[in-house]
Amino acid sequence: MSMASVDRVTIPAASKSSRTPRRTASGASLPAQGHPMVWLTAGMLGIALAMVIGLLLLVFVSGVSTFWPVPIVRFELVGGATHMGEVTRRESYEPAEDVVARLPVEALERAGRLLDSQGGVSHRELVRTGNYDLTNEHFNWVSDFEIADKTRPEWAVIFERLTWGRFYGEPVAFFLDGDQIANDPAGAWAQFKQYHRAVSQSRDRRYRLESRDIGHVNHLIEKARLDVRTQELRVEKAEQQYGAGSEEYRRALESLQEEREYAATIDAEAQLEYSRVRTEIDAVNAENARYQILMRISDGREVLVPLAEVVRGYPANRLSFFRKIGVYVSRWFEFFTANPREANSEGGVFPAIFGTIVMTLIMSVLVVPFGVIAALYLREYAKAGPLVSTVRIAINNLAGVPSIVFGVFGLGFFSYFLGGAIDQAFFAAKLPSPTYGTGGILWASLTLALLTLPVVIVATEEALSAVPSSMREGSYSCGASKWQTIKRIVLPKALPGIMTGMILAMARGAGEVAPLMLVGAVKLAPELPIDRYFPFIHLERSFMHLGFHIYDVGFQSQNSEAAKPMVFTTTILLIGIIVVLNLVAIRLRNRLNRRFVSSQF
Amino acid sequence: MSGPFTGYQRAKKTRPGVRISEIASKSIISVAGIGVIAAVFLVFVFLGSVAIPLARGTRTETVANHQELSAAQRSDAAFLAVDEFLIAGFKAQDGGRTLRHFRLDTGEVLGDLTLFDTKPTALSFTQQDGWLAAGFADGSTILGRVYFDTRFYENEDVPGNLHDLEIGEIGVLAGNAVERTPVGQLRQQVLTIELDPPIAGTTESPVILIDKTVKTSGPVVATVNADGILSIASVSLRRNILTGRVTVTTSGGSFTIPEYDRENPPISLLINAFADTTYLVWADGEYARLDTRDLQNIGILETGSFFAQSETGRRVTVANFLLGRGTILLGDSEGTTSTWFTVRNDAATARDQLILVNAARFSGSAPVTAVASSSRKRLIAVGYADGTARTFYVTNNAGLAQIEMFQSSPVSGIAISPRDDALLAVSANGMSVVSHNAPHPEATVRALFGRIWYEGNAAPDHIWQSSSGTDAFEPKYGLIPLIFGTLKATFFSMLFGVPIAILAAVYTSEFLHSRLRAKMKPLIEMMASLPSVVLGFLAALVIAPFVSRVVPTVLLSFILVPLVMLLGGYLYQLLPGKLRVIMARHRFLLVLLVAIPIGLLLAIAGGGLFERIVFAGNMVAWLDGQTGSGLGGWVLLLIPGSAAVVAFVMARKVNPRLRDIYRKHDDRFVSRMELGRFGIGLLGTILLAVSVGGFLTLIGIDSRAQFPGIGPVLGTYVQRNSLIVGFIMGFAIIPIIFTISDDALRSVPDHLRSASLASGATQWQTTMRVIIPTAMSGLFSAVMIGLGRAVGETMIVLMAAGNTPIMEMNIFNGFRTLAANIAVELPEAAANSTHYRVLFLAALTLFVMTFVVNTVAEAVRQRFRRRAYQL
Repeated sequence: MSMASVDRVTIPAASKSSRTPRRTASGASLPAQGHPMVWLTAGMLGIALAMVIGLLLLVFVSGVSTFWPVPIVRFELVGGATHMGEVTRRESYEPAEDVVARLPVEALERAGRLLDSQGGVSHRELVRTGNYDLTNEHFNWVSDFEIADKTRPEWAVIFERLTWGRFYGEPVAFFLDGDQIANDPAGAWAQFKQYHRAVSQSRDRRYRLESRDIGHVNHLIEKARLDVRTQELRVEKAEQQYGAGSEEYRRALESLQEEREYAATIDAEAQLEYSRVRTEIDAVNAENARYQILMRISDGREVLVPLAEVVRGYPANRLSFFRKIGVYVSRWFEFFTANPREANSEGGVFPAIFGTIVMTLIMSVLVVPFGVIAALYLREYAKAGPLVSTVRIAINNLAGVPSIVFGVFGLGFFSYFLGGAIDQAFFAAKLPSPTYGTGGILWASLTLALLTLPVVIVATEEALSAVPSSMREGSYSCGASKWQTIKRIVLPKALPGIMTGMILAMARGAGEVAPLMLVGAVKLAPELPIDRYFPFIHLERSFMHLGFHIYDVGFQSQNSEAAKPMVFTTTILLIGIIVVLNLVAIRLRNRLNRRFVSSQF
Repeated sequence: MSGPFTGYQRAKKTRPGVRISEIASKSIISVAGIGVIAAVFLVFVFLGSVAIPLARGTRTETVANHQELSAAQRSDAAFLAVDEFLIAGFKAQDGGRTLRHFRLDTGEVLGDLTLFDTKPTALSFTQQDGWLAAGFADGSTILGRVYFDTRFYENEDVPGNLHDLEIGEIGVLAGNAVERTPVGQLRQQVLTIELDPPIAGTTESPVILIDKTVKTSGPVVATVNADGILSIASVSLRRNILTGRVTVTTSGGSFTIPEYDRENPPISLLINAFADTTYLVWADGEYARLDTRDLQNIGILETGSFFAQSETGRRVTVANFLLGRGTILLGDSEGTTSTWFTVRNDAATARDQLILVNAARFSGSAPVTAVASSSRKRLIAVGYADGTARTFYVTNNAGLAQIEMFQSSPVSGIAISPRDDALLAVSANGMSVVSHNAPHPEATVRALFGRIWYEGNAAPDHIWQSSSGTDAFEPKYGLIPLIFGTLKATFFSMLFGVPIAILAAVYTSEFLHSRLRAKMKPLIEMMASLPSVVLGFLAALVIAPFVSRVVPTVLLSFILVPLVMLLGGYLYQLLPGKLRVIMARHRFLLVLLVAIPIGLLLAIAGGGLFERIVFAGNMVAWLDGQTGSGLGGWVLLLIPGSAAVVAFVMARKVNPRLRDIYRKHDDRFVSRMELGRFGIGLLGTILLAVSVGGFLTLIGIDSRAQFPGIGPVLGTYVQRNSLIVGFIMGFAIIPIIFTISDDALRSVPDHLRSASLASGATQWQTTMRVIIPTAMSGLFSAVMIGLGRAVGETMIVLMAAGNTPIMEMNIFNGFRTLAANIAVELPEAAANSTHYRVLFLAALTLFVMTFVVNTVAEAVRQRFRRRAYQL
């Protein structure tokens, strides 16, 4: 150990004192020191390092800057078109001849000069122009040679809307109950600020009414329907088993009748409740419809925007630094706590965070006891021999089996085989729509538990074998039994190692996506796996997952450019979780190592 | 028990509680432990259990054999069909004038229905869609449909005699067969006949051959009459909603068959699915392929014979289309059934550049008398004159079953049930129903791993294409393109990752300061914890679009950055010895902050020039083969090889001589000489690459050409390609290889290091001659484990590789790996379908591949560890 660290520095071949270039034949010549090759190896380490740091920086910078409000720029193009929006990206390219040639004559010369001065290269900016409902475009490229005028309109306002994505425009007037109560930008904006909070609150109330109260009504109706169906199945079974004339059949028929009557009353009640909620929603909608703001968009059209549509609005070019921070923080807050909007490209990722955490926890609960028991068996109880070492190698190798293979197994065995059997036995009323017979959070957790089992087994085994045998022998010599030794001496000593294994397993489980695609992660799961209906934890439900969210938003959304910021923030969140878990594990491992160094008596 | 009192006597027995918990813990841990380990191996067993049924052969069993039918009626069966649930069937009799409807289980006749008033002179029927076309002696034709319509009844709706029908039992309701379904309903199969009004022919001459196809625009009918005139008409049917009257309008054209011989008319007329090609087949094997795209201008495309010239006695007995109406199915008097379809061929003489070829051949025991094609697969049933029948799966060239249908009378008609689960055959002696269970005929070993000639392809090939929009589509389950894609992904990621990881590990363990080393390792290991979905996302949406704009620069930086590192080493040697010692401490920072940035800057600056010189100014166009010569590509491909050759020659021929010279000079001289040697070596490398590349180009081999087996190596640029995957997969495999290599190098005992250094070896010599050879097996296992990871990586390739299952080694296009394929297709595959099982087989392949690779690596590592301890 000491030898190696002393010798880190290359010793020059020639001795300092010798004046003449006299050398002994045995002295190391310059080529023997292989400097260029050492430099090459150093360079490779440098590349590896640069790769990690570069990637993390890329993710970090893109993710952290996403929510920062940027100014709204208005471009007037030489062709007469105007674009207003946020600049999201810049790049340079070589415009094709015909693109330039299509410019109006008066602009041609200027464009030609500009291009010549830049060596034929044009700089262009990708402007997020929003207003998709009005223009059918989310983004526009603006090249430098076609810009006639570039301004930052003072009153340019950005609205993040409930539907149709972002809106860019300038306030013109404000309407209350159809009456114009402000007719200049400042006045309209003041009115907007005054009413927006209240309108947002009542919109949230409407959302609650729609999702919670109507959801409750639907739940009651569905439950009654299922009860009837269950009873119907019982009747059929009785008919097959005992025949149509039997007592059992008659009794089953009677209770079916009761069940149907009960369902009818529930239905009636539900209808009543439904219409009550409906009137309430209508009232809220009517109240919200009173407030409207008239906006002028970049091409001069004026559009009425109902306040209830606006989730967040701010005049981007008038924001002070602190206001910007306010917008930034509120966006992060929404990201963590809200449901996704706009095909997952806006809003928050709360269900995905929730799903990831619940899945990882269930997985840990499943994997740790079994992993520890398996390791205990291998290390403490099984007779050491070729069989055990073969098993050990095999388990080691399972850690290297591709995760998708476990996903395939999970789909075939858990979802289709086990889940299908469970559905037949307990959820026959719901068939043919599957309950457990499809992907769900339980199956996903089980699949990942199987996937991470080798991690826990290997880590626990290492921890167990690191417990010095002198401690075991000491315990035995005091008369403790094997189990007592394990319980009181070995396991407590090995606990940090087991924890490391668990955390590593959690980190791996949280980052895996491929198997989840097969066993239950979905792009949108409005129902969380835990809610207020019996039995409260719904393990059969499919769920959202941060990793799958990244895949889905980045690859399956129609507007991937607009979704990109969302992907970066989700990425930073996922990496954050995993890096923290890993760091904790590394810490624990180091502490464990140190403790055992000191306890080697 | 005497003596002084020494304290309380302790009970020497173990307390029962302890004993019980001991036994309990031991048994629980043993059972659960073994259970967990068994559960893990269940994965393997389960995957196998799903995949194994693919290999299950065909089982047949005679369900019913009805002899009495022959007594009642004549033996002819112009056509016949079975319903989907195997309860009823029908056959056309009396030359197709009447239709006999019967139960399958007892053979009981349910009714004889008259189809036409006069006996048709030509008939054509397809069971799949029920379309029937008949031609008559007066030149007219009738189109129609004959099929089973399924209706459901509850017990209350039917007469009492059917109430007691058991599940699966068959009864009769209103002249049609009914069956009790497992759910308890009654399912009736109603024989339905719909005939359109007759279409008058252009002449009064009797129709001798007829065929039809149903396009989306409507049916097209082709006829040949006794005068040798082929007419093709597309028919449009308009039904008046109020009156229910159907009006038929036709438009079409005709064609006089040249050299028409009334005594020897064609025996078969076939019109393909799109009605753009029509075939005429004569009994002696002659055929004519006609262009019928423009019905006003029908012409012969190709004529020929199905038989070789020597086979004079051979006669065509049956000719029909396979499912999808693209492949001709031909039965002959020698008992051979063959399939024929057109393929594109440059040597073809026909206008459309197509040529009719024989794709498969199935031999039988006696002359072929009847053939039937399945309505959902490329499965055929062939009846022979000796009363036997055989089934074949056409594309795989696979014989499935051989069935003794009748004692000796020839099979006169045969049909495959709509679900491919039974065969119905009739002969003069009667009728036979045979259950036919061929669960996965499309997935034989040959189909999965061999070259298969699919319809319309120029030649047999490995193809993976599991689904498509149309019914007639044939799934193609060639796993080879996926395995190729997997290996390609592995190859390129290893090419990028292994040198970086191993060399970095060498530097970290042998040259890096120990304090820095302690920090470096966790940092690199952190790379391993980056979720692959993040890597895939970055690769596909950030790196791929970026790289596609600067490909030449990226390629150049792969050459320049290592070169600058080496150059840095040579320049460093120029420094006086004292300075070198001081600098050595900062070597890593120098490389990281100076050499790499300089290399990158040079690459950026030289990118344009590089593109002009190597790729004739436009890389994308060059890769498409539009501009420039192949020389630049050759140089690029040959540079690693020629560098190796030059280095070898230098080491063998130049260095020993230089060593003698160096011995007489000081470091300054030596370092300059070395720099010069480096420059000469560089020049030599380029010269060698250029001259070999030039030679190859001169003899006409372009670097962009298709190479046998691997396709082009440099080809069309696709944004998501192997280069990107190789790079980003580096993030996944570098940390693994790095960590294990570093551990292996570190675990070489220090006394070996010390001994080597003490005997005067430099650190580099120690590393090369002592450390690396000792740790070789450890390094090998590191590479193997990295390989295992690369083989199974899913998300990165799923997102960044484009997922096209092609077999090309082209660096600049994508591929589809086994893992990505499973991720894409398994959610859509129906449980227990062939597709599902093939995907399980793919998963099993992946499992076995990685398991074997890892086991080898693990075994090597264990051995290395033992050896390292012994040293």
